[in-house]
Amino acid sequence: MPTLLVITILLPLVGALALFAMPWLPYTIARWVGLGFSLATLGLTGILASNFDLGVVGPQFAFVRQEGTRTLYGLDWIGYPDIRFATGLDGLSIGLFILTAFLMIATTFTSWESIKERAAGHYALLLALASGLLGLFASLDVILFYIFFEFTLIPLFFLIGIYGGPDRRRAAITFFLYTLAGSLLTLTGVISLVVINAQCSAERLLTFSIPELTASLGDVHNLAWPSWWKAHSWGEWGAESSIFSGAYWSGLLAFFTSPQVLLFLLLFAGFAIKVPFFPFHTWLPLAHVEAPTAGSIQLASVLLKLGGYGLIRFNLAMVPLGGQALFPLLATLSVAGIIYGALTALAQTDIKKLVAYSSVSHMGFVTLGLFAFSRTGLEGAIMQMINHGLTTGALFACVGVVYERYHTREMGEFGGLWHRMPLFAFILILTALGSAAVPGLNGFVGEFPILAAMIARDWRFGAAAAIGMILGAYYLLVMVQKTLFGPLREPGHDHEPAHAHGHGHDAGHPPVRRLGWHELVGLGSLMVPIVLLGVYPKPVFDQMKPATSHLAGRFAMPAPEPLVKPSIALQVPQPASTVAQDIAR
Amino acid sequence: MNPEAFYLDLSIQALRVLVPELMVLLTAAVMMTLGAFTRQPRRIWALTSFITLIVAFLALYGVRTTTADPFGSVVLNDAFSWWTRMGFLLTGLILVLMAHDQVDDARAPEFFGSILMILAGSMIVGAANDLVLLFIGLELVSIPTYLLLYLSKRNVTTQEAAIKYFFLSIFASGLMLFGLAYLYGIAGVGNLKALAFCVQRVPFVPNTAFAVVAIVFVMAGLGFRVAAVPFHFYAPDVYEGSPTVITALLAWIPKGVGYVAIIRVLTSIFSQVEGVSERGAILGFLLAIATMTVGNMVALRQTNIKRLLAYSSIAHAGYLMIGVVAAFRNAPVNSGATTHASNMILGSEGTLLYLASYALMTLGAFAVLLMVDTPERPVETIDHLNGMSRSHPVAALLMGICLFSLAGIPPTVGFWGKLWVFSAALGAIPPQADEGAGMMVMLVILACLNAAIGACYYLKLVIAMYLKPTDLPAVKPRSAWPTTLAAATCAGLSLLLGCYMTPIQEASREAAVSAITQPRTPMAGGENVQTASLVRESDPQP
Repeated sequence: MPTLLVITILLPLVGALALFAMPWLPYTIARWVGLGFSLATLGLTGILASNFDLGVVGPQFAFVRQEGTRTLYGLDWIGYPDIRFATGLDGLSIGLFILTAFLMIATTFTSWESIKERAAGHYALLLALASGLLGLFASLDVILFYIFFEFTLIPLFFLIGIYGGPDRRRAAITFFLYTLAGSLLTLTGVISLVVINAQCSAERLLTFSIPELTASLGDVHNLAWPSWWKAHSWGEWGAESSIFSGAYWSGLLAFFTSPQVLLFLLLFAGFAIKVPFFPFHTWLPLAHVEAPTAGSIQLASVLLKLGGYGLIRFNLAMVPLGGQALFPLLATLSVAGIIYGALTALAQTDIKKLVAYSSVSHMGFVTLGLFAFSRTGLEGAIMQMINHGLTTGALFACVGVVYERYHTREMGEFGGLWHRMPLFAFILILTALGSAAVPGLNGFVGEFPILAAMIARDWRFGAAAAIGMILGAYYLLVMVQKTLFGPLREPGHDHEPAHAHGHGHDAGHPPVRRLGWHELVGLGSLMVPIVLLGVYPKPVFDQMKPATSHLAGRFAMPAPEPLVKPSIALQVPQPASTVAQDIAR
Repeated sequence: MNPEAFYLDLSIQALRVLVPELMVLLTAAVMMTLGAFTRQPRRIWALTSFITLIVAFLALYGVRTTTADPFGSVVLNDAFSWWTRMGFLLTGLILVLMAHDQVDDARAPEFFGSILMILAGSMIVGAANDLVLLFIGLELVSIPTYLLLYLSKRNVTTQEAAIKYFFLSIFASGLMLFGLAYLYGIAGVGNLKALAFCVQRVPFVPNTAFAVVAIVFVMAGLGFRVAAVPFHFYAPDVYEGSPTVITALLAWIPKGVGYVAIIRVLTSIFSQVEGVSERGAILGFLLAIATMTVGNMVALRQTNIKRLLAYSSIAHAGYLMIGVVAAFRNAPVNSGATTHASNMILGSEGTLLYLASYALMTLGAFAVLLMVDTPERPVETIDHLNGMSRSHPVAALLMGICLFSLAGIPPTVGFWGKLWVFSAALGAIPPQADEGAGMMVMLVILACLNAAIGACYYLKLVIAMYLKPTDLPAVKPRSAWPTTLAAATCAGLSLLLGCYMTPIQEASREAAVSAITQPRTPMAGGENVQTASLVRESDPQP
């Protein structure tokens, strides 16, 4: 099994290298090669998933070696310090791992007809990207994680830059630099964690292994930790001094440079940009709009999840106190992202931009769930990540279908597509409803636990997020109404481009192609889990349960004594109520 | 024991260790002399240099077990010396490959002779265990460089470049000598290991003011070699004005030599010395921040590729300096102090690893420039690279790998270099965070932001090559397989070592450990292998 996992990760890379080596392949062959490797990867992932043991907390499918009291995962890579090529899956990562493999099919099918030039390179980049993502979710070593984290930038940079829209160069470079700047700060945080663990923890172990770091760093109430490894609490700087006094500002500085908070923020920098967390989302609409359809799907469906996944793996698991100290700030910004994303989506006329901003809003729910610091919120957040991957992927695929036929994404220029493509209309409606969290479809099972957890922690943030949910339904329905309903309007048939004059009226405009089999398969493959997860989400929750309850057990420990009278926002330091947990299950 | 025999023995040891350098120097001298009497095509001279370097490499391998008395000999043959000399020799091979057709037949002997001398000088710096020999090595790098700058192309720009380099280099040598004199004055010894011993163990040594003056002036003199801000002003003009292969040489050799010398004469001696190493670290901190920031910021605005690479090499000097800062704070091995940092990554280890990766990626980038630069289609500005992925796909791929490596994106070796210096800096914070802890964290954070800025201009080149259409006529690429081989070696190694960097990491670590290892003296314990073997050989004592 461990070998199978490594093969699953490297198989797409092999395909990518093969396609890179043969750039002259015509698209008719390249796409089959791409599809073949995607299907093979999906098949292997299926084998892994069916062998996944639900009762185990720790990583599975990993090479394991016992050395004294230590469990060494993975293969030797760098001798000293002991950075290992360690891969394995646990409840937190298996869902996203499967999602990644699953979406490879959809991305291949959406580019089936649309990419005809330099097609081999396109499929090679898609495969390389998938390989990086699979490797990232399976990494059990912080450096390996980081390598995959940054490696994903390269294929996506070229996907956007070569195959993207008119402003693709700017989009590619913005995406790359924005993400790189954040992830380098994350690297600083990661190294600092390793150093702190090696110098100050109980065992003083120099290790780069994620399970070991989590076990040792997350155990914040261990008495071996020096006193500075406790976070200050939010608002303490303003308790006894006014805003104009020096003590206020020095207290503020002391809070933000206390190790837990500073490390949380450093780690957060890279993940927050990836998520994207509200004030750091500005790269996303540009990259989404300019990327080719397959790139958009990968970007929205999986790339953004790296942020959420990293937050769970590093921020929540390794510096939980810092996160809890920053709770008011993080929750406020999450809610701001939900509402801001929804309002901005509402104002868009470009359908792809609308979907892009809806991502900002939906990922706000993910961070909100995470920062509820409870098991319910954690499970909801992971579920929401998977759901968002499916629905937003499907929405981008739908946008791709429209754009391929009409070469415009302006909602003002077309409408009533129901009359032209009824099957497509059905799919779009289903997806939009799923995204708007209608009960019975998948969005609901993710957003509901998040809201429940947040209301248990602080009802005001939960209530504000619920408003975002309503807005979400609003902009999605407006989109559906503008594109599908009303009289049929099609851009190419209303007005001729200037150069086409003289050829009679409909010259150069073949009738709109119906949905091809590849588009049906691609979209259909996404529809099935959208419905299935909405009706019966239990398998997914079961998969993550041991890992999430283990992680959330950490949050349930007594919070450190607040140094001063807590402000109102901090008055609910208990874990989420069990009622909310029961509802979620 | 008989003193004469002892000193003779020391000299023989030193000469035996220096066999590779002497061979290279001898060949260079013969080539330059013969060049005046006979005219041969340049490929003969290039081949001779190449073979000489390979033979020197074999000789280096042959003498690797030779030991020299650490407190008596002017050279050391430890892991540090082995790794740095090997590095300079191997990059020398690449340089000769790149240079094989860059000079006309008439000047070829002097040209290749100078390159060989420069390599010999840099190897001497790696092996030197004495202030004077170290200085000789440094000058042996500088003086042939003046010649090279003006040799292969004689016009106004190269004249300007040569003059600029000459005057500033002389000035830097003066500063360096001044600092070395103070170093000598600290304990009255010129032997570096003995100096380190005195500084670390003898009470009331060093005098803090003396030591600080020495550090400042040596750092200034070497700062010129590595093109650290504020001694960088010559670099862009000289780089732009020189032929590409000389630019490649200037971008790598002086920088490598400078950092090797810094590790030898500063960080190995003054690591964790009360009152001195903190000031050294602060000096390095200021230099690192200024160098990175200025280099990256100014590189952003460049359109000429060589100027861009010049500023980028300045920025890399800044990252390398981070390792030096960490090395000042590392404890020396065997010193008995609780070595909090040496259980992670040593500062000099980071610098050495970064140097290795820097050599590969910079030489690779310049080799690609040589590959695509033809008289019909000169490659000077970024726009000249447009559409290179279509017209020269192989060159574009190699260049892309080198650029991503320079930007520090995994899986390339540049990433590991950055990771190692950053880890070294953070690992140099002791558990009871002292007042310098904030400085180190700030240094790393600023370096990260700088790395992101740096990626911006490397990406500009990638974008030009891959994402922009070309507006220039397509020409047949120059068919020069040695240049292609050099570029492919550098790019291929960048990628391979990026996936599996254990070999260079282990070599760097051993080198770094040996650089700060203090051999135990016979009077202190008498268990040191190197010293003991010397004593045994010369005079069997009970």
